Amino acid sequence: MTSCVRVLQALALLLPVLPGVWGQPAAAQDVKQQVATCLACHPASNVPANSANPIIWGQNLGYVYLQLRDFKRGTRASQSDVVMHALTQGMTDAQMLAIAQYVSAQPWPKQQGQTTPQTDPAFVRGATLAGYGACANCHFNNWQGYSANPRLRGQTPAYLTTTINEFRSGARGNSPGMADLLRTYSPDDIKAIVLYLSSLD
Amino acid sequence: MPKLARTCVPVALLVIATVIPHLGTAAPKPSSTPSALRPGPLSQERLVGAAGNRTEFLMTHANYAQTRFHRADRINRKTAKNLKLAWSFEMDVTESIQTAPIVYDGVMYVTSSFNHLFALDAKTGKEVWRYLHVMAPAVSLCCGPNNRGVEALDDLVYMGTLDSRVVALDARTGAVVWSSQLADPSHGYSITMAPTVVSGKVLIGLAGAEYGIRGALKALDAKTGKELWTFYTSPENTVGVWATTDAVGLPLHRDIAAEKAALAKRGDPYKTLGGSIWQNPSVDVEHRRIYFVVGNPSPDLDGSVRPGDNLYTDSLVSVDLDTGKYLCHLQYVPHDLWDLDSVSPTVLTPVKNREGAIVPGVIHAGKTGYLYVHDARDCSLIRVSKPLVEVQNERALPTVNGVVIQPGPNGGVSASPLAIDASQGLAFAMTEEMALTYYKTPSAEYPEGKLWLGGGFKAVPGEPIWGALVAVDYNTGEIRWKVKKPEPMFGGALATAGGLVFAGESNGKFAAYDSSNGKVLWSYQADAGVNAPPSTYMLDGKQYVVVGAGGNTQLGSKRGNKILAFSY
Repeated sequence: MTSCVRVLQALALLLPVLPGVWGQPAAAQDVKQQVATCLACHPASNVPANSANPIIWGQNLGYVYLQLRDFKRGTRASQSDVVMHALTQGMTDAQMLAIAQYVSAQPWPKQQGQTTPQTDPAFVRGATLAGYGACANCHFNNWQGYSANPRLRGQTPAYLTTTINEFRSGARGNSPGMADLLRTYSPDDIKAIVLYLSSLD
Repeated sequence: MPKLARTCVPVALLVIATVIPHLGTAAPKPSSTPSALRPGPLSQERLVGAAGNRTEFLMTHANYAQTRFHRADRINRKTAKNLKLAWSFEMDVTESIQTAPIVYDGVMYVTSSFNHLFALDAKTGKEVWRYLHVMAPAVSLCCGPNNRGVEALDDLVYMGTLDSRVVALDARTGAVVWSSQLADPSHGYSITMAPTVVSGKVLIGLAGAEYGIRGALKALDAKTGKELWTFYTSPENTVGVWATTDAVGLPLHRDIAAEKAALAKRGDPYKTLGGSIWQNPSVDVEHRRIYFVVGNPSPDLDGSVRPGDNLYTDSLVSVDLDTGKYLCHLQYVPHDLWDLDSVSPTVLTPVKNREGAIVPGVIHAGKTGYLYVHDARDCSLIRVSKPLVEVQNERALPTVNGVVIQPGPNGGVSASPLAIDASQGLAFAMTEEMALTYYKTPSAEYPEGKLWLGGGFKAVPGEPIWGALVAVDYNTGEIRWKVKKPEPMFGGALATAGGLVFAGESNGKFAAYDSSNGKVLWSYQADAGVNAPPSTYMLDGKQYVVVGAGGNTQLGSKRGNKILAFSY
């Protein structure tokens, strides 16, 4: 566990009882201040490829909102989601929507060190495998998705690997259909798909 | 009180109140030059007479019977070769186009993905007004941000939206007159179909069976948007008759004892059973009844959490137009484990019964790859066609290691509407030829509006994927002709009194075929997939054929943003 996670976990436990942080209705001018907390784990630029925390800036509004809702409810509650579960406990629905709106309106940050060329056989294999699964039915628009369906394009490989494996094992249970589709692939297939998606600009 | 009102609507209202205060208000962007075109009012009498109309295209599928047959014949087997692009219009969204243009009083109404609606001068393609829909913050879509078009009555144009609303717009200005929220999009409810508007009612169905919705067809007051009646596609008793075969007679391999035990333990699964409606109902105005088909159960592939036949999923259903009361049904695939839902809209036309007598009929072509012919009076099945597509391992049970089945979720006849030519007794169907490997996966309980498939499927490496335009004699079930295509065919057909069938392809080809033999008489190469149903109309003595070229999300065909009109 990283120190960032430890600090946030401790902070998160206090958040529901701290007045004026998450417990009050979100005024528009407060949202930016509130989401500053997110930057500790979700940098807004030069994201390391080995970051197991996802890129959230520029992610689709509906997806961010529903994930916050699921963290709070505990329907997304794998080991890597402990911090978010705690952080969201004091949030109202309106706050989660306001945060999601702000986060989704930001530019998608670039990653560091994820430069597999599109001619690389592993990249091509990943593209082919993703096509077999009809993944683009939901994550359409060149893997940018829409609303409740997340952008995958340019997401960090470490996060994609973690969350896909959590879907496959059932640890991430807030989209069982996603788990079903991912279970049709072998671990090697998943590696290729992750390489492909994370290498897209 | 319905489940929706108890649990979903409060969330939706919160969303509305906090995030999008302008929801339901007008967002028209009038063109810089006011148009002299003043469409409407479009009376009920004109709509009833649509089947005989030679100059306009008043409904999504041409008329209340949904024949997609038009009486204009200036473009015919001899003249089709002269067709040229008359105009094109670029919408502001480059994504899947499935709109079926309607045209009356010189104005055309078309939609893009994400529910943008455009009124165009049907002669020139110039914009009259546009409505840019503001979407709710969270919508879940299984199959692309599609919209299948609009319908009109009197002075209003009606559109169902991806965020589960119906909006009514002033046909002359695009101003929003009313907006009605029907369900909570953050729980997987969406609308992609065009409404059917009849006798002061807007008929609209909900979709979202990949997310565990409770499907419904609703009638709204056309003047106010107020709900008049609701027919749930999963009634409170969905058990049925424990059918062991499907409508074709294929064994379903059900473990009825296990299902009965599950039913005793879990209760009826109707609250989350799915049953999307993807396309317009057809209307028998004289007898005040409507016909529509219902999509797959939720979860798509796992029957263990939904014991019983899962009525009325995968079914033809008829209800009373004025009350929504059940009249009859026929289930094509009881307890579906293959996502073989019924999608393509129903067509009403006289048909021969088994004794050779002419009776009122209903025709539907399914993802199963068969065309079904019913007696409209009681929904009973008169005949099933020969398979329109290649089949393998039909109704085989999915396994952990995977079993190849054809057709599957992306096969047979999907949302593509049929066209018919009653003078030849032919139905024209667009087919998708595609095998998929099905995988059994562990069961999951209802995930509160998240993707809920109950199994996995994916394409078979190396297996060819293709399609065809198929002409079926619906009075015999025989295939009259079949034109094979290199890609799955999706979009919909149009037949005309000129002896033609028009159909587009994913590679951008749009062609006119001799409806008697399938011979190509004319074609045009668009710069994006033509995966939408064509329409036709007459203006100033010229006949036009119009179609969208925007590609398709599910097929992955090249996207575009154009409406193309052809004439000579």
